[in-house]
Amino acid sequence: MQTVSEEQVWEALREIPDPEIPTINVVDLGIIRQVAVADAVIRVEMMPTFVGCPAIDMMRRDIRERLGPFGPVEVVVVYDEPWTTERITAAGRRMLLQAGLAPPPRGDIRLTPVSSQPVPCPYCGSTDTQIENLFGPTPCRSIFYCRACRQPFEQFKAV
Amino acid sequence: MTPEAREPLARYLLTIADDELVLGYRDSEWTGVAPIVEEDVAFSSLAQDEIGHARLLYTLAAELTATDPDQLALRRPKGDYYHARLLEFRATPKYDPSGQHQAGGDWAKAIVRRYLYDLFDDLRTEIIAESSYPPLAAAIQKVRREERYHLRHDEAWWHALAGGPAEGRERLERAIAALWPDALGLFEPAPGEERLVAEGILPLTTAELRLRWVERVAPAFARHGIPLPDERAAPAVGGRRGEHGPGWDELYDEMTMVRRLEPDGAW
Repeated sequence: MQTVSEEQVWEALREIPDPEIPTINVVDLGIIRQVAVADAVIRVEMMPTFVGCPAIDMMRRDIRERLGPFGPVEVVVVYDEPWTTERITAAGRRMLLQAGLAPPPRGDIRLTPVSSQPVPCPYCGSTDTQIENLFGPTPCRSIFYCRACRQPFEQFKAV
Repeated sequence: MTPEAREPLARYLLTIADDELVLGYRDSEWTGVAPIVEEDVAFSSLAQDEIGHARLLYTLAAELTATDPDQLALRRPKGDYYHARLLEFRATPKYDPSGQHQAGGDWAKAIVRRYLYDLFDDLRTEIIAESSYPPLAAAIQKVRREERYHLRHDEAWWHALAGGPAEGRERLERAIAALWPDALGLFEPAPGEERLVAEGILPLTTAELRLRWVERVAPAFARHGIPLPDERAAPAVGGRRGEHGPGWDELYDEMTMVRRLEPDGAW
């Protein structure tokens, strides 16, 4: 039995930024599925955003370090349920925008991996934008160009 | 799952993982030498996704065989890799430190390989998603969501080359003719697939996907008036039994080089 509560663990996890997009934390990114404090070990279940994401190990280490003062920690990476961009919270979508990243389009990506709706530019809000590349600097991003403010920008891919 | 199914399942998982690993390595070779910078980015991402998928599948196989994913990915003997032969040849020019790079790279071959393979892999992952082995069915759902982007990318290039100026179209048709027997080799089954089908771990054998694949491939050819090669042509088989060509000799040496120099290195 832990002296720390589940709420305290969630609160602490909210302080851990995503290593590649530091304006968003791991909780609002939706990658923490479950926290359990009932046993001797604090158990955190984490869902990777992309299977080949190199940040998985970094985030696992960051979580262990942040929760370490509360007691022994076990971080389990789970694959039995896919993380999807629908798991990003409303606050998380705003945090992406602050990083200059357009939030992922909503809807069934199995039918439309590329949004049929125009993607608003995170800098100026214009919808006069075009996709430049389905792929980007990390597995989870696509590259766009805003014709209004003439800025390239990135979008968090819907998966 | 019965004890008799463990070994065929581990072998089947290795087959898929090896496909993804080998294609991932080969595609990573385009980084910096693709025809446009956007494709340097795209192929780097494609490669990273595929190697990530391989890691996940090696992890599942390692759980069945009491080993670890690195052992499976980089420490098996050369003849114990089971990828299809289509995936092992180098499509880029060969880099040489002297600056005298060898010619022979072909973007059209890279695109044809990706497209024909991804159409196959889409059908394969579709049936695996129905597997009665829960860890596999769940993991593959995640993989499928990422592969949507790959197919989208392949299709764009297929249409660009097929509908573009004469050289692109000619190269595309030459690549199709050259790779067709290798593409048919994708349907060579892994040993023991019948056992997996009998237990519901696999809904269909790999060979049974061939007709569905032809149905998917045919419209892409027809749309541009490209004649569909003979689907009863002799496939280039052997890959699923560990028999490979010179492309694999070269790639195996390169991808296991660091591991062989520092077998227990950690980083």
